[in-house]
Amino acid sequence: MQDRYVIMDTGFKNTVQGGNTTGYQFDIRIPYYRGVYLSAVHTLDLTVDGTPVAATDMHITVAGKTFTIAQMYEADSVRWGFGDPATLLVKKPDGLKPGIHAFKIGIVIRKSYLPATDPEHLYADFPGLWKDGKYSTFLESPTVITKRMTLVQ
Amino acid sequence: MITRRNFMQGVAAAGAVTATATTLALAARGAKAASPTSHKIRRGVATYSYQEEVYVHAMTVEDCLREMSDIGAKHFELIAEMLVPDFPNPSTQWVDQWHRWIEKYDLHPACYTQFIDSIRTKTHVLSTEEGVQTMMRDIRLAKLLGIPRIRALVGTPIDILEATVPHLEKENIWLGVEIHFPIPLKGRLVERLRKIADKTDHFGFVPDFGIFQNKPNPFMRDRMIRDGAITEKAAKYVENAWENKVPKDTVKAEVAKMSAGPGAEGFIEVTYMIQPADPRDLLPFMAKCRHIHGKTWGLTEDDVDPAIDLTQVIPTLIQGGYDGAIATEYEGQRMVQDVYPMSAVEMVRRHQVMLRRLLGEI
Repeated sequence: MQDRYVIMDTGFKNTVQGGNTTGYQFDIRIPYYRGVYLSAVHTLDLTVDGTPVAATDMHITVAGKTFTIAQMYEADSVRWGFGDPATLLVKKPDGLKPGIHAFKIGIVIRKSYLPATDPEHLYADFPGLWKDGKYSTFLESPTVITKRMTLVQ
Repeated sequence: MITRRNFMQGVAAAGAVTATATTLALAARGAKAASPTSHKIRRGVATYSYQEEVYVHAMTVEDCLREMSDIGAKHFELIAEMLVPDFPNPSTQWVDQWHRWIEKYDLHPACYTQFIDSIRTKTHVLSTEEGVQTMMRDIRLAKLLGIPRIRALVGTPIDILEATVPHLEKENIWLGVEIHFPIPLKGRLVERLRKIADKTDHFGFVPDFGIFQNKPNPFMRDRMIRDGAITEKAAKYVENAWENKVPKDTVKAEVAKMSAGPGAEGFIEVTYMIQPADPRDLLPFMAKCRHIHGKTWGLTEDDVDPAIDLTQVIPTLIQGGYDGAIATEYEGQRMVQDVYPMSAVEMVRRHQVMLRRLLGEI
């Protein structure tokens, strides 16, 4: 949903802190049709130039506050607004080199369209929820977005 | 490269080649099912429809409101989490502005789209009390924006719904649970929810017209073909086979021989899930339905929905005395974004023309 607009054209640059280039950053928007609690981000995977980025090397800035990925999963009072840019900051000494770079993001938003449990067995009409007498709630597969962007500095 | 014009011609053709679709169009045009005064159905739009335009700032909140007013779809449904800045606590100035817009464009906000987010973190499932607090958050905001009804998701936990009822009665807000495909009208979930609805006038249902899908969705099919998920040949074969009631296993075996693409199996499953509900099954609890999602994935230039036929549905709603809005919920943007970005205004308009015809307005 809104896939083509998720990784934004603007915002891609190396991150400079205190005169040192500490990594790079770019902006993404939510692949969904409403804003959510940041904790609704269920998974967020990033691959740059074919190399997966470790979650521990990433931060995300939403509504002016910066979170580690682990903190993001618990941020149940922070709203990531619909269409609002969030900045992904990746730690990488000296940043990326000028020129073209390939990004791939896989993101799952946990939408809670169905309950966590079904004690009264009411949702058997949804295919795949009940299997071998066991209920598990629906989780979409990741929205995968790729984009090539040029870094200037 | 497919241009927008080619694409739309393709869409029109997709509708026209099916004799049934053409017949439906003629039937819809000829239908004198209702005179404007003989029913209580009001037209609206679910702001869900305009998600792409709002996301990329092609339309503002006011643009959405003005458009709905211009097309006479005044009984609209608001996704606050999409359109209300600083949700759930908009500024007083914004709320004042909202009310000025509602007055200026002569709108009647009919329904507020609620999302329970019951699995709040990876490990935290809302307790009943926490769920009620979330409902209270939305009841409060709906009232602040002058919206008398709330739509809850089909998967809103039953305990939360039951515990919310006293608050709905106290706050004088009606809440309807969406009946969304593939939930059957005559199934365990609806039966369970009807038990709640029987005890109060503040609880009921929001049927989604997706339950009446009677044909494969050509917009999804064409996107899958463009994405290389299935070949055109295989897609046509599956649709024809479905139309001719060829058993699913036979179709799977045939498609397996075709190098049909990685999405072929999924396409078969989706196609073979099509099982339109009988609108007459709504009649026993029509009085508990106070809002409807007019789901569509797109329409042809002559305002035919190739996948969701309403020619029997609307007369049944009228017959049952349905008293509420039909809010067009255009869901096709995700299927045509690659060739026809910003399709919502046009598609919603086509759906509204179809509704006007079926309601006897034109």
